[in-house]
Amino acid sequence: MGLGKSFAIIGYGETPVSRARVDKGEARLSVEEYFAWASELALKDAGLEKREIDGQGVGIAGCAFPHAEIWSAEVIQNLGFRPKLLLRSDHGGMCGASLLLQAGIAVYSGVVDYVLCVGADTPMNISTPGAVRTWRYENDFQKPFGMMGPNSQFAFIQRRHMHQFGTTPEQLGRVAISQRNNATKNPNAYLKTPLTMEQYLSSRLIADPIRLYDACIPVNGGLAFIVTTLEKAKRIAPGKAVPILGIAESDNYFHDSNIRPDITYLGVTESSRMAFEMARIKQEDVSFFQPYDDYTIAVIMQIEDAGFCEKGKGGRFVEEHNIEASGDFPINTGGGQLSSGQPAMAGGFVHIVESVRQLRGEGGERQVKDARIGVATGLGAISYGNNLTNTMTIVFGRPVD
Amino acid sequence: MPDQEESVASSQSTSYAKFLPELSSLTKPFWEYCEKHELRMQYCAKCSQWIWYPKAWCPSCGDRKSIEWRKLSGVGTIYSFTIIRQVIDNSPAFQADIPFIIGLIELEEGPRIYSNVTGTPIDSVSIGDRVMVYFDDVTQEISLPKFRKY
Ligand SMILES: [Zn+2]
Repeated sequence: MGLGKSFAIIGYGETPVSRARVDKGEARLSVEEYFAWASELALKDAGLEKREIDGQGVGIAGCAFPHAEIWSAEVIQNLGFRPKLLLRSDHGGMCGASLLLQAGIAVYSGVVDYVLCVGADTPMNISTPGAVRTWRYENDFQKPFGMMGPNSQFAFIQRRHMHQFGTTPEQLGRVAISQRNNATKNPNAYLKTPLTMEQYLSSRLIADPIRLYDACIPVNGGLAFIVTTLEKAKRIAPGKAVPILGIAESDNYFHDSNIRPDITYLGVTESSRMAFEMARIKQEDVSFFQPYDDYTIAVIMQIEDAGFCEKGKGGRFVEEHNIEASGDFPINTGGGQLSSGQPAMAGGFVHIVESVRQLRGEGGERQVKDARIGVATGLGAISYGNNLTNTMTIVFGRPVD
Repeated sequence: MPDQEESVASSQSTSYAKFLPELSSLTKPFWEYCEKHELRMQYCAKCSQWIWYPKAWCPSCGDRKSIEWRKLSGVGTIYSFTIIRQVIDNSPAFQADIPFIIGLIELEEGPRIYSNVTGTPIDSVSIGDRVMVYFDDVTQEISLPKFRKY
């Protein structure tokens, strides 16, 4: 017995996303509305009534806006849930993955039977620069020198990866273009127009070498999923409950030296090894990969760090493999955050929800053929002098009867 | 192009518009040494480790008592860098400096610090370049440690 194969996702919800461009006819909804909408979709999908969450667990992702320390309490008041376990994640891009692990532990331990995990965010509604307070080390030791948040942070990582391993802009472009092609088959994606290599290479440099199309696109949106034990899942959602075969977290990972880490290695190196061990799978068993994709270089690094190729060969890997949903190694089959959009702190839910959808065979035009095992990751919080502080790897299996 | 002359000029202006650090009891010594144009960082004498940015205990061994502020030579190499070409989520005052370089500088004693590399053409910077610290007195209290090739 162990956490692996002990719990499952029995329902998910994903709202349409928006850039809140009212002039283009796009919706400008509040974060409260997205929380309610995503919850409604997930409950409906799981076949549960709202009142069935009373006395159960609720997990709430942190939110860029409003940026309140007491947030999960506000959300459950808004939604009228009366849980007996209230989980909260403030792990940025790892919020979804962290809530999945927390929820899994909660149902495995028997404290509750169900946990509804919800993330929603509205970065496009924030009009005042500096309205979102960032971490102190960014304020004190990065912004005074002109650091521009994640774009500049990832520029250091990408530059170093290019320097050490010869990774090229064209290889990074392959990630952006392939994921965009996946997005063209995702009705919920924000960017659905195919991208050419010329367009990618001529997109403006923001924090050189990071280009516009290396970065994910912020959107407003909400996502949710519901977790229960595998045993209960088989009873209430036969044929559509997606089991978590392995899940593992690695925080504050550094490669080689804590003051001089090799910033081209993510904690995914460690979390993937542990999650694959828990799931008793090998890399060749994996049907698709949904790595957290705030930047194209993050995808390439994770192909390496999860062991799908040798370190440094991620660039060559995306040239030698077709990484579209129809390809031999499907990556971010719905377009990922690069093309479907990143609802800020809820962005990490995208990879979980898309994994569940694919394993249930609900991928529509972008369905991966014969999907048996899927792997997703979550990455959160860009650290000072390294890369990501929070990393998680999740291995999903086929629905159980 | 931001060069040292421009930095000096900006330092003399009375209203400095860019982000400034907030001083706490933990970070104040660093900035006070910078004001004296000395680059010092915390060092754990117990486990012989440099600590950067300032921490409330040694993140390696957990000791709180053996941390001292040690002087560094100010010499280092560029471990990685970016050229900022667009201002996003920072002071619009940086717009005037674009394009400018931020390096992740590996000091010869070991720790790495983010800072500007100035006084050199944008396209002449590479990983591995040797740099030396200088101090830009941007306000009465704050001198930012910046670097130039040497
Ligand atoms: Zn120590």
